[in-house]
Amino acid sequence: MEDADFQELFRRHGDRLYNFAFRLSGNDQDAADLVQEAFTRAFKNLDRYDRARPFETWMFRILYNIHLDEVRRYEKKHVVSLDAPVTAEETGQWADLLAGGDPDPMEESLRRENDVRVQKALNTLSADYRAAVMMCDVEEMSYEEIARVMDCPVGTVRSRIHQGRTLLRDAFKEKEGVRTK
Amino acid sequence: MNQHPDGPILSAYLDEELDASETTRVRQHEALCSRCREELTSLRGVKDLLAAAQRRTMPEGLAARLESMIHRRSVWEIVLARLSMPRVWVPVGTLAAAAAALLFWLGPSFGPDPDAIPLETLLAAHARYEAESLVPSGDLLHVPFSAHVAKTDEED
Repeated sequence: MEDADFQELFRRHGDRLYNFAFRLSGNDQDAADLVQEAFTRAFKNLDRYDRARPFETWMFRILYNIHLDEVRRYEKKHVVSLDAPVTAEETGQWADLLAGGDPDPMEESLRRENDVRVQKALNTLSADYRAAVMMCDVEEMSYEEIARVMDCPVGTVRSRIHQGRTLLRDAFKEKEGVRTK
Repeated sequence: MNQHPDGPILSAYLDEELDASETTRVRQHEALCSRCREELTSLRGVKDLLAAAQRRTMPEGLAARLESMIHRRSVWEIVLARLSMPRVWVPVGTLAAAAAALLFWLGPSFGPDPDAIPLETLLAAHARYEAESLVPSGDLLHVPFSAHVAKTDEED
């Protein structure tokens, strides 16, 4: 691949990759580091890129693996409880999070606020569930593509997506005092 | 389908990831089962919520840094690529070989010859000695030495 091609692909997919990195890491600083590291590694290993496969899937895979390495390194040093409850301030009401058709002038402000709540709920998921749900529901990737990124069978992707959605739903519902299944 | 589909099957149904026969079975079950309809509705709620979340774009500073990295590598790669091209090295090699051959051929005539006689110095000395009549006069270079000897004998 010529460098000019890479530059074009970078311009085309950079934002999408950044959004994924942001949702995985949960903040701008870590997202920027992730994206920079992913592009640097990709650039050094351009000769290993299989042109028959989508560039984007390759980049997502690199970024996801970097993130997993960082998570594992972090978890070695810290004990992280995935069962720790998310505070009410963090998640708000489940009903508030659902998109409505009301053209309220405060809609944009609420959307931003809800966005933060979504991110905080996402942060309660393990890296595998979060990545699977993000790739499916936000990046609209197929199960097959997600399986390639996560290097696992499609059946595992299916389970992770469902489990991730269930945990997210429970995290939101919990704040309303609704008993979840 | 009388039994409730597994959760992952419902999620896959929502994502249109089931094959045609599975899709039909879940659809038929959904029409009859309020519990699974509710489950699908709540899962769809999560999916829609995530899809509606604000998308982040790459900060300009980061984009500029990465573009710069690509550009720097591009320049370096171009230099390396050019250097590795036969169309560069073939003429360079040919020129180097020609220069080496020329040096080899011209080699003996380059630089001072350690065995060379300092003729100019000797002639100057001879002229001085000739002026002082210490040596026979005449062209030493073109007249055979025997002639000088014979001449000297006659004079004696």
